Amino acid sequence: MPIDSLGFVYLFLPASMAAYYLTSNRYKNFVLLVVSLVFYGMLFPTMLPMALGSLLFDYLVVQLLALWEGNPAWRSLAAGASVVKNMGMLLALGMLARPQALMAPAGLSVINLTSMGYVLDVYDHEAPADSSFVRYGILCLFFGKVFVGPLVTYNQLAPQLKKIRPSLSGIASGVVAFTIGLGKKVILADSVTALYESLRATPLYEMTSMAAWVMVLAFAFALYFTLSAYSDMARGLGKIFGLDLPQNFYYPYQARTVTEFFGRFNMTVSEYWKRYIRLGRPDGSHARLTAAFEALFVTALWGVWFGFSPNCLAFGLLIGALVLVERHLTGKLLRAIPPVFSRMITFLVVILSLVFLLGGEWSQIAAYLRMMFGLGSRPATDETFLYLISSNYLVLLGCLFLSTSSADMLGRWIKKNYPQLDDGLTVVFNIGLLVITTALLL
Amino acid sequence: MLSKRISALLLLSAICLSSVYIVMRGGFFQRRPAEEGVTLSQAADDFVGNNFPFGEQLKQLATRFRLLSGQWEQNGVYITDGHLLDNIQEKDPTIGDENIHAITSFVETNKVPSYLMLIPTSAAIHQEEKPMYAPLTNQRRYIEDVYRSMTGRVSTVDVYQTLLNHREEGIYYKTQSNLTGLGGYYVYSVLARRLGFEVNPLDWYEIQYSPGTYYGDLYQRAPYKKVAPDLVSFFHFSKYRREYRVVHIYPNEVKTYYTLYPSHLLSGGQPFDSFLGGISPIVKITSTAPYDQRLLLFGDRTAASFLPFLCNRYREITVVNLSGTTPQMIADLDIRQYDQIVFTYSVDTFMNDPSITNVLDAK
Repeated sequence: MPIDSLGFVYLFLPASMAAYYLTSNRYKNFVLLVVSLVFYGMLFPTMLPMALGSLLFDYLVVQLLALWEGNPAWRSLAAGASVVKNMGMLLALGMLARPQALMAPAGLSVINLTSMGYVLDVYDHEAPADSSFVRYGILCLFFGKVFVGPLVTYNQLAPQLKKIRPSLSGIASGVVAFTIGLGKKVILADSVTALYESLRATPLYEMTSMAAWVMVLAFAFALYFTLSAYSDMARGLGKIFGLDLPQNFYYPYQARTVTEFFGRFNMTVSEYWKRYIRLGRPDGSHARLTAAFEALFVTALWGVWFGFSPNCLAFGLLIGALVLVERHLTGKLLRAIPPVFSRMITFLVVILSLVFLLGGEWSQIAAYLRMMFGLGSRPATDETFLYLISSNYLVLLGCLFLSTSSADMLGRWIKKNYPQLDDGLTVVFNIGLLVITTALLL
Repeated sequence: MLSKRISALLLLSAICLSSVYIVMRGGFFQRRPAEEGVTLSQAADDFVGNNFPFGEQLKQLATRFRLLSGQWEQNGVYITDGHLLDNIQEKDPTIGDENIHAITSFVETNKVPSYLMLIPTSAAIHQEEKPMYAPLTNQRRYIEDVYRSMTGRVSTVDVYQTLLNHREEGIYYKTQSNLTGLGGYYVYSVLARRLGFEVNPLDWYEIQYSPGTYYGDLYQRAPYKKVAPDLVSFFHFSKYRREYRVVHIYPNEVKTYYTLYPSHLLSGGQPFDSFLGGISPIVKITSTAPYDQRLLLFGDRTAASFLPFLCNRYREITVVNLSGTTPQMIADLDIRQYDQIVFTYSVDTFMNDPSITNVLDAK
């Protein structure tokens, strides 16, 4: 069951919390692993044996890497086998999986990449070979993050698992963070996704230029709020169970450059690929070329995270190309002009790039871009578009406001100047959010 | 930090107490047979949804919240202050074409005077209430196109303008996608003239109202409390004494009522089915009216609104709901014993229900 469903919030979560907190500290990790396995089995029942098999394989590889400490050739073979296995599974699953309305990696992607990362860390002696399958299992399978991430490394999670210290403040933060993430998903993401899907279903010959713009805007918000909501819920669930997971999104749409956008959107994924993609460190004239290839390779893999398709690859490469253009040409200029203008320019460039992520034939993507620039034969608006906008303008405005740090800044201002009002509003807001979210899910 | 702890405490309490309530109410620990095609995740969601405390109030809150955010269409229903309007759409244009073909083939084969009547839905008649710019299927044009394609082969009955003229008189239910008794009377008045007999005036009927008010199927999809619930009205023919027998024929069962309005259905959660007891696969209505003619009517549940008026003009009316009949039931119909045949459907049914082509099973 997805973590934004009624069954999860009102059955699975209380039951798993009860099981976890009624167990002594010594067995908490084991309970957490069992709960994660049950969750994954309910979410992807046919994939559970494959996931377990894959984990066991990598676990054995890690033990072998420790055993073959003095034998670099065997170590390389073992690590190589793990990489081939994991990348092969991702490739196969990506090609076999049905395309989804909003690209989101299947659970196996998170598991495989996390596991592969750990193998490579052990290979590079950046992490110890842990003999505990329970800790390793939680690293890869923790149910809060298995759906969409964030991606974590062994060094981030293992110290927390070795010294379990659930605290009331952690639980409090976790419950509130989970509720906010759930609200973000159900209230914002689902609404703007419905708008995007209505516009996407419009045949090309009926689409207007304004509808094309709003469609891409709705897609941008749907993508951001869906993925960031799941990440927020994952972090909230992590805190409930004593784990501090890394942040995955940081207001990407208010970035001043595309490079900054890349560093703020799905941060753990971009950091993951930057960490493990190394094309060597040549000197002289080859250095810039190698760095450029590395940047393109990393952004391409980051793009493929959204879905294994030529469109996602093209999107990643486009972002990579824009990063390189900024690095060598326009970056200084963007940082020199007032932030509001650089943000607007970057947002516009990102929106146009996201057209590639919509999927579909290249001719369709080209048609959307032509329409957005008024090069089609259709008018700017029609009644269907006006109706959709009149029904959804508040949702779009809400998404625009909440995709920036303005709400945070407002919250901090209220807290600083009216602390008691802030306390009251916080309680009312959080309870109200749970009530409305539950009402919308019913 | 204190506010966060208070929030967390309240949130956890709400979640845990709700869970306990759901489990206790829903009988979680009883064994349940697994339903086919339902995943564990969906079953869990349904279990929680069906047993959630204050579920009805929360659904209304959700409707209000969506309205506040500007969404005046929810689950395919336009929410207005006066009515819930079902936004019907043509899912597959070939269905309507095939229905036209089936009816014209049937009529050409059987040579009994036949009529087609398409009844617009409330969304067409009350379209001035729809949200601004909201798209709406042009049901008037659809009816005209269907009628035009049948010219010369089937007699058509146009009720659109009559219903439009009387739209302020409560001819459609507000929360149910069907005509009221009064709406049924106006449809009957147009149909009667087409069928060649005089219309009984309205003052020949005594109007009885249901003891309570009801929310219909549209309310289940968009529970908006500001739309008033419906009052069901029954029109009893009072000019002359009449006795009725309404026989509902199912594939394995027969039910008989001796009234046109079985009132026990009002309390049984099916208030709108208290017209004739609903439209079963086959319904045979006989009355003590002094007429010899027999009418065969192929229709959907909109027919229940005007049949109580029509049955005082025929010795027997056989109503066939092609979506519920078996091929054998249709084949067993003796078409030759009927004097007139009427095909009557809401525009929604005619547009989207392919079962009308089952009429070709009749011999």
